[in-house]
Amino acid sequence: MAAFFVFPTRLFKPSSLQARLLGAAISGGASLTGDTQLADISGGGRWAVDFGASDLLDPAIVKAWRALAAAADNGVTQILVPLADRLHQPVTPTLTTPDPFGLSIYDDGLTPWGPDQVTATATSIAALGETELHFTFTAPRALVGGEHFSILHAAWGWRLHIVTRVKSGGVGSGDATVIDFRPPLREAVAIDDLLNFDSPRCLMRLDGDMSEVVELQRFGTASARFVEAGKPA
Amino acid sequence: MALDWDDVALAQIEGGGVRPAILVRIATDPLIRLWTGAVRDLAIGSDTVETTDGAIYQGMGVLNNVPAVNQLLNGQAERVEFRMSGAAITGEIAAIASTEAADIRGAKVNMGLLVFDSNWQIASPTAWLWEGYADSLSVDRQGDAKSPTRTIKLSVGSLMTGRRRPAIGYWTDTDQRQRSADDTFFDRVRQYSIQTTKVWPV
Repeated sequence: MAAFFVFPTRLFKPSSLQARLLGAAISGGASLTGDTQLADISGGGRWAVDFGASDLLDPAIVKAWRALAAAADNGVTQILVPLADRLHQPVTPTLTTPDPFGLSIYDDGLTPWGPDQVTATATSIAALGETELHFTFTAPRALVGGEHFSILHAAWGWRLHIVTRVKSGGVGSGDATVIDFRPPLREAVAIDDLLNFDSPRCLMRLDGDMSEVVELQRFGTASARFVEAGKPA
Repeated sequence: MALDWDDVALAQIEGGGVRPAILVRIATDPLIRLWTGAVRDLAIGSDTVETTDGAIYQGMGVLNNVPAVNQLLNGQAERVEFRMSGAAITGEIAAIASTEAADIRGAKVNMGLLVFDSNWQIASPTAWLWEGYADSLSVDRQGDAKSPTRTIKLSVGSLMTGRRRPAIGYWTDTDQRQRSADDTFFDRVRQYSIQTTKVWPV
C-alpha cells in the first residue's frame, strides 16, 4: 500500500461530520403541471465530506493541522480521509486492537489495514460499476443499511461506499450477506477481498481552504472539506 | 441512425428520473474514450462503433462540456467544440497535444448515449447519435489569476464540414486576381454596381 497523507479525524475531533454523495442532476424544467423531470449524468456521484469546526486546543494539534494544510497543496495532494464515525458502524465503541490510523497526518503504508471487530470477505466477483456485493459477515452488531464501508482497490486505492439495503443476512454471525450499496464500484472486487467496516476511509482531496484561525495565540479552530479524488498516480 | 433501445431502457426514460451517460470516442491512436461520469470508469459492450468489447471509458470529470449537435438540413455544415479539463489531462490527450496536432486531424469522433437502470447498471445498448471528424486541438485559459480555468478545446466538424477555400465563383477583381495575380480584366467591375460613388476624373 502506498504512503499517503491522512486527515487525522481521531486527532482533530471535528464537531460535525457530513458525508454525502454529490450527483449531477440536470433538470428539464417544470412542466405546466409543476412536475420536473430529472436526469443524473454523474454515473453514481462522488463523495464529499465536510468536517465542521475542530477545536485545536493543543499546540501539537495546531501544528499537525498546519502541516497537513500545507501538504494539501490547494487540493492537488491526495489525502486519505477516515470517517471515524464508529457509532454508526456495526461495531462496539472501543477498538479490540489499538489502531494508530487516524491519529497522525501521515501513513507510510507499511502496516496494512486488517479487520478488527468486523470481518467481511467477498464471496463472489463483482465487476466494475456493480452496486451489489455478496460476502460473509461477522460483526458485533447487525447490518441494517446506512453503514459506510471501504474497499482497498489495486489501482484506485481506498474507496468509500454506503450500504443502501441489506437484501439477506447481515446478522453478524459469519452469515452469507447480500447488500446493495452506493456509489457503484470504482474497480472490480475479487473473491476474498476484504470490506472495511471498522474504519471506513476514502482517498480524497481538499476542496477549498482549510487554514486554521488561532485565537489569543493559543486556541485554534478550523474546518475542512474534502471531495473524492481520482485514481492515484 | 435509429436509437436501438429496448423496452427496459424506454421504460427508464418514461419513468421520469433518467440516469443517462454521454460517451465520446475519439479514434486516434491510442483511442480516447471519455464519458460524463464522476470518479469512475465505465465498461461498455461492443457494437458497430465501439469494436472492443468491454472498452473502458474514463470518467473523472474530464469532459467539461458536450456540445449540442444538429442534423444538417439545408444549412451550413456545423462545427462543434468539445471541452475537456486541461488541469489534469489524460495520458492519451497529453500525448497527442505534445506531438503533432496532425495526429488528431481527421480522427473519427463519435458521440453516444446510454441509460443506466436504478442500480446504475447499463440498461441499454449505446445509441451513437453523432459522428464527426476531429480538426484542431487548442488550449484555452480563462478567468483571473486567482481562479484560472484551463480547458482543452477540440474542434470537430461533421461530414459536410470542409477546410477548403471557397471556390472562385464571382466575376470580381478579387476572385480573378486569385486565379491570375496580374490580370486587371475585372479591375473596374466594382464600379458597375449600383450606388457606387464614381470619382471624377477617373
